[in-house]
Amino acid sequence: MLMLSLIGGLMLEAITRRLKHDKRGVSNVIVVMLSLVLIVIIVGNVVLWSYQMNQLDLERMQETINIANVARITRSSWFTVQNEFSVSAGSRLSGTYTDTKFIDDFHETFREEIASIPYNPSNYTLHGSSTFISGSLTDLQTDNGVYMQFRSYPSAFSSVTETFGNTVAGANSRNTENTIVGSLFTPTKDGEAQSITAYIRMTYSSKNMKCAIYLHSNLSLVAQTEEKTVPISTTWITFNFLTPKPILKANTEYLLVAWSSSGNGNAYLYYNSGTTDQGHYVSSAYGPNFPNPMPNPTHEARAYSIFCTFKPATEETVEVEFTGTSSTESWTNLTWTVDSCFTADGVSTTFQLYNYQTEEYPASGDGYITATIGTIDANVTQSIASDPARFRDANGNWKLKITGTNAVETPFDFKVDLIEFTVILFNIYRLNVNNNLVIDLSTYPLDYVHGIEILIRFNTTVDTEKWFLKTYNWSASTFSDNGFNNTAGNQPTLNEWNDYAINVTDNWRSYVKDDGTLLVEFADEGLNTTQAIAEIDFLGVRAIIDGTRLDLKNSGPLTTHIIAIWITNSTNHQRHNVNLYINSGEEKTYIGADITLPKENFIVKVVTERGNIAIFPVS
Amino acid sequence: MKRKAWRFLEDKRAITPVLSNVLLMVVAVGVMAIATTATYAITTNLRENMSERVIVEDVWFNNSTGNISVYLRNVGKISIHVSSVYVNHTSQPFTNPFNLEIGKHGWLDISCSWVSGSLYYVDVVTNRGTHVGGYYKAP
Repeated sequence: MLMLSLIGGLMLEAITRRLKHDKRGVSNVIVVMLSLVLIVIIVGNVVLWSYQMNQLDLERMQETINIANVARITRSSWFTVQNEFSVSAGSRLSGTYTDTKFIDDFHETFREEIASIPYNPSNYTLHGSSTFISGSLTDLQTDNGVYMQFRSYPSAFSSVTETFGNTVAGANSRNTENTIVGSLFTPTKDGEAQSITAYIRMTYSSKNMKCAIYLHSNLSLVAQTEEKTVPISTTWITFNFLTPKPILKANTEYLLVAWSSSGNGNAYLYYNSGTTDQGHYVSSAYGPNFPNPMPNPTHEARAYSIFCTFKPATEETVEVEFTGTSSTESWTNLTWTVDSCFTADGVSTTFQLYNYQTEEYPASGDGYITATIGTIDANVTQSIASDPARFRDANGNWKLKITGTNAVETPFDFKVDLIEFTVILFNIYRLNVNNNLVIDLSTYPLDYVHGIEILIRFNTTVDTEKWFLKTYNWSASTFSDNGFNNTAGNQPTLNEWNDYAINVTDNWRSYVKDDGTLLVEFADEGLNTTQAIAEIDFLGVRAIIDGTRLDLKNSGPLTTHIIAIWITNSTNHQRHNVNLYINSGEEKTYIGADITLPKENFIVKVVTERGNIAIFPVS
Repeated sequence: MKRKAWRFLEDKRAITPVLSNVLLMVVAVGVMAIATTATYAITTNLRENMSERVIVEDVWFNNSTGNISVYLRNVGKISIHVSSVYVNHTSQPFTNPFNLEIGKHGWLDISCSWVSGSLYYVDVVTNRGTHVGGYYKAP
């Protein structure tokens, strides 16, 4: 350094001296200096780069990763509950859910109570011309503002008729012999169609004719009229609908058409100009019935002189029957609840629970409620203490009918939020708790899971009944034990911890949501007339896998990044991508649910990001 | 000012030194530009050579194909191109071209028959002259 300073000082002195004597060399010196600076920068860059690469090599040399052990694993670790249990029957006495996370001296205690069991509908039937709009039966399980919706139909009609269609006699005409001819029209009210009238000119001979209404959206036949023999004339002809007469919906496009048999002369249907594609016609050999659906028609801008006479609706009704299942044990009480509303105000609503003794829906008393309900949710409920079992059949089935009627011309929707049929069992104590268990999918992806295993460790004060585990089937929306290796339950032994484990290798995917969640239910058999106390020490689930466990140790001074694991044998060399960091001096276990080990004689290699490889032969 | 300009135009004695200085400067700049470019080119090549790091993650004497497959990973700071492969110091055909960007990895298939139980020296050479390989025993 001293030498360099000395040389630099001498050079600077010489340059200064020369500059004093010869000022013409100044430019050259500056150019040379700049070039030297450039060269120094470039060379310096190389030196810096060299330093970085040496550093990289040094770090690689210092890195030391060891594989302590490699083992095949067939089960994941246990995943326990993360929140408090939901108690649908019974009560919680002491402890918390955290006491059920480990097998130890701590436990959570529950007590059986006189059972109050809620049931919800499992099916529904539409009555009259009520239609389903949206939602599902699961929407009826909670009062949460998520509805199942149905639409009303016209149930009473005015004595005064109205028309929709073209009531003007047109100036031009099209022959309807073996041709279905008509135009699109839209009623503004619900109603009952009475007849179709068409302006027809029949020439040379009388011919048979009839008319019909098609639904334009899918060209399906709504109804056809009587057949008439139309004499030679030019006049309006009315064709009546037979009973039952078709119901028309407001603001729906209908196609009113006429159709004639062939004969001497023509059977003209008059028209005047209409909107684009309003007119429809299609060739079809005349027969006893209109084709259904209408064959693909040709369109034209014509409004044919044809109209429908109908009686507007004066009343709309929606009627839906819900059915469900329940227990067949003795009941002391039945409470049924419906939470619902309509899209119209002032709907007279009747709620009826079917009486299996009288074999009819009651018109008063138990099982019968009336209310006027509007657009705001109304909760109607009734408690039946006198012989509640008459509202179920021998198999525990029940049914409930809801009828809403309103004096309006336009349809309204029935929105039902909750239907609950709750029974209290006679002298039977029940306990039913459930909780979510979540499998860590980042470690155990579902693609590599072959099944699930559930373990509960419990103790009870009564040993006269069995205890059962069930899991919620997300596809069927119910708790189930279908596919379990043990569905017979567990008969506990008094005053000791009972381990009840089940595993599911078939159909297990129905029980695990895409995010790895299982909803596990623990319940008694429902036979206890003595109130029992149940203590839960442990509840957990684990995945059944065919994976690999690697015990790794970083003995080096630097954090190491494992990026790959190799499993090699004589027939296959398989690389698995890994992303695992191990701090200096740390021991870590890697679980590879996707890594299946060969049966015998293989080598496991672990590759670090810096390029080091640790090897573990297994024979 | 006017007089000074007139004197400058009248006095022709300074032209030769100015021209010589300008020429000298051009020559100096040219020479140093060449020197700088050459230095840059040389050091770039040097830096690229220093940056190459390749490791062999696995060598597979593949029974089903009869070939030797080498799994390489580029752990350096520059992309690599494999130019030659030698097995027991004899050049062998391989999947050419074989390039690896920084951090990338893949199988290099060498079309070379092997005998079970024999020892082979596999040497992979990049176009910048880096060698990677070692002795491997066929299973």
